[in-house]
This record gives sequence, C-alpha cells and structure tokens, in this order.
Amino acid sequence: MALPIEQTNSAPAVLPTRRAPKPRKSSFNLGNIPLYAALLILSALFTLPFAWLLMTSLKPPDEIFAPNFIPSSIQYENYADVFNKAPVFKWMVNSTIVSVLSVVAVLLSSSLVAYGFARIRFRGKKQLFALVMATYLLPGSVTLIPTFLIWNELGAVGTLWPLWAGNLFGSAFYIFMLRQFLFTIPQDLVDAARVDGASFFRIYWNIMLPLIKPALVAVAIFEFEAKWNDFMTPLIYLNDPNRYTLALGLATFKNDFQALGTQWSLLMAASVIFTVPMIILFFMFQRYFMEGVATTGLKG
Amino acid sequence: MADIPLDSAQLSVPKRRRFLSEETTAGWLTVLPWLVGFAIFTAFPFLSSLYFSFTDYDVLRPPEWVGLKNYDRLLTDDRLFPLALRNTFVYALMYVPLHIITALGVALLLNQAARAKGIFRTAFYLPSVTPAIATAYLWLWILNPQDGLLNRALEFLHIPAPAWTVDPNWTKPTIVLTALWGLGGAMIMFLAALQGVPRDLYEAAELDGAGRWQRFRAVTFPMISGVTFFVATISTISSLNVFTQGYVMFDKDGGPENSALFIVMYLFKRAFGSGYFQMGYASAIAWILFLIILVVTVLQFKLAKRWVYYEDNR
Amino acid sequence: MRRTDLMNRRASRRDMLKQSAGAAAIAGATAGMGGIPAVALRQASTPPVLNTDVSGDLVEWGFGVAETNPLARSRVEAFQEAYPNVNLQIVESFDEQKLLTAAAAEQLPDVIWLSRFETATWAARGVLQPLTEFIERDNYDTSNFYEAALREATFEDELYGIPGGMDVRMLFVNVDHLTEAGIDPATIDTSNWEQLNEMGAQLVQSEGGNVTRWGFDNKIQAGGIWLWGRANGGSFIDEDGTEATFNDDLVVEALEWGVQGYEAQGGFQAYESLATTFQGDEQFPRGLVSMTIYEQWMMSGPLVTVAPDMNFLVFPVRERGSGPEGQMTSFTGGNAWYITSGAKNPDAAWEFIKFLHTDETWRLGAMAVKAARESENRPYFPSLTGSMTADRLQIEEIYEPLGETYDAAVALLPELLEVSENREIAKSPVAGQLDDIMQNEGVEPALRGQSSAEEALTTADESAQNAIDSF
Repeated sequence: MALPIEQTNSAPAVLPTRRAPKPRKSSFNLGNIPLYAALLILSALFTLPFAWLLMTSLKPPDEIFAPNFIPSSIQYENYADVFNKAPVFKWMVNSTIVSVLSVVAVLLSSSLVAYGFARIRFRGKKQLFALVMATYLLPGSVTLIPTFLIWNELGAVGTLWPLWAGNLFGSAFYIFMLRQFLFTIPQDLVDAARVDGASFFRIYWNIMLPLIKPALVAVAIFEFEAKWNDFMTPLIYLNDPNRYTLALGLATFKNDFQALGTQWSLLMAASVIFTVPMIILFFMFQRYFMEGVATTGLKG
Repeated sequence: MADIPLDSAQLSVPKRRRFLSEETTAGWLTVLPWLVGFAIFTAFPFLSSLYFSFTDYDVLRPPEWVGLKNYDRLLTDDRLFPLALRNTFVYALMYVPLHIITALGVALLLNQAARAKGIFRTAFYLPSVTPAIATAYLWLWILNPQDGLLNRALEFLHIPAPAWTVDPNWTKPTIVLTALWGLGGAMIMFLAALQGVPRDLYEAAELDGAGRWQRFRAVTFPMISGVTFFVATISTISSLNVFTQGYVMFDKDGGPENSALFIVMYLFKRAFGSGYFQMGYASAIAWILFLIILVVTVLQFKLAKRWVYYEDNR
Repeated sequence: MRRTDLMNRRASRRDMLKQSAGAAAIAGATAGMGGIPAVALRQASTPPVLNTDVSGDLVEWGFGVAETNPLARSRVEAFQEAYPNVNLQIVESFDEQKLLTAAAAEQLPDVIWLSRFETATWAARGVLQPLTEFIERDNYDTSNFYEAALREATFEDELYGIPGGMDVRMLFVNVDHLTEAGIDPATIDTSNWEQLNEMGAQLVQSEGGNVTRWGFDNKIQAGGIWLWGRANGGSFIDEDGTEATFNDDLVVEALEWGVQGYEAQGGFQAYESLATTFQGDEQFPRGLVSMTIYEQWMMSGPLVTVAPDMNFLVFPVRERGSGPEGQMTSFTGGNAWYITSGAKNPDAAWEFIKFLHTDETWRLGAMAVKAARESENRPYFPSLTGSMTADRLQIEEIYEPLGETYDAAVALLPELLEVSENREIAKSPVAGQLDDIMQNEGVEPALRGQSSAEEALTTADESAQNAIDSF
C-alpha cells in the first residue's frame, strides 16, 4: 500500500514573517453586527449543554426534572458533598500528573516523527507511514488484553506508567496531524537553512517547531483532554484508590451514591467538577492559536 | 538526539550523494521513537488479534484454531453484523460532511471576530469537554417526541415533528445532530490552519478584485486543504469507529430495532458482554472493520492528490 | 441510561451495588466486636466458626465501601478490627474487561463481589473456585440462605458463592390514581391477568394524541418476561441447562399478554415516548405510571426521595389463575461473594466471606444504616441480605413502623423471597447471551409489532440453542 503524499499544485513561496491577518482591534464597526449576532446565537446554542449541567447541579432534588432552567434556590451543598465525601484533590493531582506527562511525551515524540515523515526524504518512508496509519485503524477493544499482558510483563500494572508512557513513542493520530501542518511550511526556509549548514535536527527545533506552535498547542489540549477523560485505562490498570484518576474516582464515587436511588444533582455536580479544569485550561491556552506565529520570530 | 551537523565550513552546497545518505540517516532517526514503540507495544497486540480472529477464543481458555469460521459466520449467518455495518455507514455519511462544514464555518466566523475571541472560542469548545453521559440526558429531554423543546418548537412552526428518539428511522439523525455539537476539536485545527494562510495572498487577491467567496476558494481553501484533509480522514475513521454516542443516547443494543447499533458497539458486546467473551469473533469483526477503513482511507489519500495542496514539493 | 429500571437486564456494577446496598450517607461508628457472634435468634442457625488468626494480604474487587454505603463500610471496618493480621485492599470498581484482563494475566483478586446471575458464566470458564472444601472443613451452615439465592450461586452441583444481597419484584400501585379512575384497589387480583390489562387501559391518560400517564407497566420490555413467563407456569431452559425452551407455549402466552397490555394502552412507541427521558426509576413516584412492577428498593430509594407521602400499595404477583389468595411468585437476583481460582490467600478470603454474613455483622451494618438515615432525616428500611435470619432480625428489631403501607410491604418481603425464583437461565455459562437474545430477538420484535410473539420466541429459541451449543 502506498499512501501518496505528493501534491500537484505548485507553491508560491511566501515568507511567513508576514503571515497572520491580525484582526484590527479598531473601533466598533457597524458592518460587524451580523457577524457578532451570528456568533452570539451560535455560541449560546453551544453553551447550552454545559449551562444546563451547571444549573441542574445546583438544583434541589425535587426540581431536577422540572422545566425551570434556573434553580429556585441554589444548592451549593451538592458541591460540598462531592468534595467532602471523595478525595477529589488527590484524584485531580493524579490526573494532572498523567495528563501533563502524556502531553510532554507526545509533543516531543510525535512532532519529531511527523517531521521525519513530512520533511525528510528517506527510503521506506511511504511504507512506514502507511504502517503508522494502519496501527491507528484497528479498534482498540481487541488489542486491550495483549497490551495488558505486555504491561504486566513489564511489572507496571497498578502504577501510573501504562496510562501515559506509551506516548513516549509517538501517537499515530498526532503524527498524522502534525505532518499535515508541517507540510505547509515553505520549502525555501528549509533550503536556506540547509545552505547555511543547519542540521536536520536544528531545522526541526529552530524552524519547524516554532512555526507550528498553534498546532502543538492544539495537540497539547487534545491530549490533556483525552487523558483527563480516559476512564477505561485507569479502570483496568489501577487498583489502589490512592492512585485513581479523577475520571475513575468520580465514576466510583457515583456508583457509591447510586445506592440511595439516583442522586441526579450530585452526579451533575461531579460532572461539573470534572469539566471545569478542562475549560480553564482551554481558555488559558486558546489565545495561542492566534498568537503562535506572529510572536515567534524566525531565526535562520 | 538527531543532531547531525553538516560540515558547513567546507560545503556551502552539499554534494548530492552525501546529502542523500545523511538525509536517510536523519529520517530513520526521527522515526525511531515510533519504531521502538511499535516493536514493544503495538506489533504483538496487532498480530495476536489477527491470529485470534481465526480462532475460538474466550480469553479464559486457550484459543482453538477454526480457520475462516468466524468470518464465514459474520458474513453469512449473523443478523446484527450487516445491520451494524449499514448503521455505521449511514451515520458516517451523514456526520462527516456536516461535521467538516460546521466546524469550518464556525472557525471562519471566529477568525473574523476581533472582540471576545477567547470567550467565543471557549463557548464553541464547551460541548467537547462536557461529559457525554451528562449531556445525553439533556438531549433526550430536548428531543423527547412528546414534550421535548425541539418538537414543541416544530409544532409551533407547523413543521412535522419526528419521534427523534423512539422512531428507528430517526435515531441515527438524532445522534448526528447531537454529535455535531462536538465540533470543538476540528474547529481548533481549522483555526490553527487559518493562522498559516499568508496575508499577502489575500492582498494580492483583493487587488485582483476577488470577492469574499473567490478569496476563500482561491486562497483560504487551498492553504488549509492539508488540514481539511486531515480532519476529513480522521473524522471518517472516528465515525466508522463510533461507539459512545450510540451507547449513551440509547443503550448497548442501539435502541429501537437496533437502529443505532454500530459496529464497534457490536464488537464490544461480543468481546466483553457478560456471557459472550467471544474474543475470536470480536477480532474477526475488528479486522473486517480494519479492512473497510483501510480501503476508505487509501481512497481518501488517493483523492487527496487532486485537491490537497502541500508546500513540500517532494 | 434509560431503562435502568426493573430487572437489571442491562445490569451494571452500579445496579448491583444498588441491589445490595440500598443505602447511602455517612457511616455510623462501628462498635468494636470480638470474633464470635453470640446472639441467639428465633430461627436456629448454626453460627459459623471464625478463625481470626488468618493473616496476609487480601484483595477484594467490587464492594462499594464509601461513606455513602454504611451497610458495606461498617461491616468491612468490623472485619478489619476482628482480623488485625489481614491486610485488606478493596478495589471498588471493576467490569468484565478488568476481570478478563486480570484472569489472562493471572492477576486475579482473592475474593470478588459479583452478580449471582454470572455464577455459571465465570465458574464454567475457570475463574471461580467451588466453596465445597471450605464448607465441609468448617461445617458451614448454608440452610440460613434463601433457596433461590443458593440455587443461583450453584454451578454443576457445587456452591460457588455465598449470597450477600437480594432484590425482588412486586406490583406497586398508586392508590389515588385508581380511586380517580373509579377502581377499588382492594379488587386487584394479580393472578387475573385480564383484569390487570383492563385496569391498565382504564388508567392510561392521553392529551392531544400524546400519552401523559401510563396505566400499567408490566416491565415485559425490561426483563419482565422472566417473571410473567414463570407466573404462567412456563419454563425457559431444561433442567441441566442444555436445551433452550424460549418458545414454550406458556412463555408465548405470557409474551402475547404482555404485548396486548401495551396495545390496550396505546402501543409500545407511545410508552417509549413517555418513558424515554431520564426519569428512569422515578416514573412511578412522579405519577407518570399508575401501576408498575418494580424491585423492593423503589421504597427506600425513589419513593422516599421523590414522593415520601405517596398513597401507594404493594401487591405480590400470584401465579396465573391461582386466585386472589393464590401462590405468590417473583424472581430475585443479587450479588454473592466468590473466591477466585487465582486467589493467593483463599483462607483469608473465606474468613472475610463468613465474617460478613454472621447475624451479628449484619446487625452492625443495619445499625450503621439506621444511624446514617437518622442523621439525614430519612426513614430506615431493612436491606435484603440473602440470609433469612438477618432479614427477620432487621425487620423485627431494627425497623420502626412507618405506617400501614410501608409496614405491610416490608412484612411481605421475607415471605415473598421464600417463594421467589432466580432466573432459570443463570445456570448456563452463556446466561448473559441468553438474556440478550430473549430481549433483542424475542421480546422487542413482538412489542414493536415486527413479528408475532410466537415467531419472535421461535427465532430467539434457535439463537439461544446456538449459543448454548457453541459454548
């Protein structure tokens, strides 16, 4: 199988120093009203599920299914209950450790591998990339048990290692993704650097990585979120409740609370607690999608 | 790690031959991490699942070679497999184009906004981080055929209101509709890609008198086509692997008349359902799905030649 | 998600906990106690011999021991106090995937808390070990457990599990709704199926073509077939579990009746439209359903939470045609304790199981539940333990009368449990598959009018036979 990567169009060479149409923060423009109206309506629709979750988590039990969107009285106790009865902070710390290690590992490994696939010419590249993609296509359910056996052989079952260390070797999804972004960097830049004597690694580190910063931030957010949400891997690999991640801990905690009939508001409160760190993280990092290129000068 | 300095004092332009061999070394060094991971963690599970697909295997007792029996049964004597296959394709055909269009549309809108960008971006990303299990309740409520908000609105407008969640013909559109809220990931990629579009090209196009749509077609789209291709490929693969949506909105059997039973749900039930544990059978399902996705993906890569624009000319 | 109601046919770990625990909130203090329970009870049963000298690590999977579950937590704490040399580790959550991977890697825990319905499923595949040796060694008295629970924990004539919780189904009736419709609740005869369907048709309410209140929910869509099929005298599988009889005439009749019940009230889709939202186990207390089959925890859970003052009555289901005072019946499920075949410390596992099931330990657990309920102003309900003496002990000594309705219902429970049956198909190593097949190929196609009850059950029977044969 060959996955063709050639393209037929020819590229206009443009130096990226002049990229990024920086929207002017000019005075308010009447012509923008339809734009903002559309954005407001759409974003309200997209905010709805979380807003509903938040409101439900604050409702008294007998109002959960009532049509009122806003609770008649705000029940903060639902949150106090979750924090008092479950070691939420400990689980959060574990989740953060796993997520951060995963992000760092996957950024370094996947970007390097992707760079090789996108910008270096070597024998066997096409076939190897096809293999990378192929590993991504098989449903994980059927490789779960053999994978567990490997981690078991390595003596890592019960530790946090199986939750993140696979990322040290790159991930097909991110390799493919970063490869697509790396393709867009002008070849002139690479040629110029080569002529100046830059090594392939230097080109990767000093030219490529800065230029795909928005994509790297996207990878970081995706991977953080993926590990934060992952419930199945911790369930299968962890045994000690002190090592539980937030996803697994809260799921267990929900089970405990089911005992008295479904405690909807509590479930919703736990879901909000689970979600908020990811929202904050996203909000903090989203500006890099815009600022990435513009603020990074070019060396070389 | 892969720092292979070129002897720049001597060579301003490297000799072709040496350049190549050094490039090959550098290339293999860059992909080395993946190769190591493949050898340790991927190759064995990958190949063993292929082997299991030719066996009767319930994990707890040794596998027993049965040749093509699992495949044969799947293709000739299983009512649910073809149904699940069809459900999955119908879902993917509806979801993938709509997903790309909505995500790109939102990204383009956001790209024009000058104010409160962060707030808007976060708003659109919110459903992507809100747990599906929690929001499923909201959707079932909104889409309730009897007194759900959506149908009340449709009735008000005198538009026929479908029984979204109980009519087998509507369960898949229902899942597509709710899944579209999760456009955050694709939106981010489009936003990141839009940052890479050279401004000069817009200026040049404007000088040529190109309108909004022409500028999009001649400049924006080619320049983000690589990422669009990625989004299309990935969302095809992931929608052929759809699992959570059907499971959460309906149940493990895909709701009314199994109308939202997708391949991976079926595979999961065969592998891990209580009293099933048919890992051999499930592996055969997985490998059929693998082959299908492989064909689709290769096609996408072939077609990409015609519309995807890459900078690296090699 | 939806349909988490009645029969736990889509049973999750969560449901199992629900069945067994029936409890939430803060654990009461646990009294220190010695090893040997000494209280004499009305019904004589030999208290087990405990050996508190066992030591070493003990790994348990599946028992929810959070603060929210005083029944479990207090008993486990008492165990830890009584067995200071045992280092107990509890992993609350597991699922089929975790158990399978652990078995494949030979990393099984010592003792697991599992649905009895899965006894044959795991025992036949070599994951569990029979308890015969332990029972004989200690002269352990099992006569104290309900027969249905023991039967379900048995595989090929050997006992694998010690029951630790039960659930049981009966008919809940909203008295106000019946009165409104001019029906005298005293006339209800659960052995008269025609009457039940007529009442359903009489009680159902609709508005502008939409059903707004369902009359009688027979739960045949959620595992009720196992109840009604038996109540009609039908059988689903033969004695030794090798031949499926899903299309037994009496089962077909039961399904036909169940389908008619839906049709008389506006059809299954109308029911689904009403029930499709997330109100799951709260439909009855919220007045969306007037009569429903449900487990006993309707009382301690949804009713107390949502409608503690509801005017309701509970009726046992009686065998069809047996008359208003005829033979009661129901089916029961629940969890049991098992020792795995890979247990590294089977002696401690056995001690753990024995200790958790002494009447004295159950009393301790019940007192902790009561204390927790009092602290949150909720009434105490006895938990169904699987042990006859422990159930009676709770009802007679710890339960405080809550009024005629609740008292009558609580008093009914032990009586009903004694005549209840477990799902027959549990004896098969492919029980889960059979349950699935009954649902997807038998009940649902008939309910949705895709085929007749007889055709559907015949198809289901063939598939079931295939499943049994190919194990």
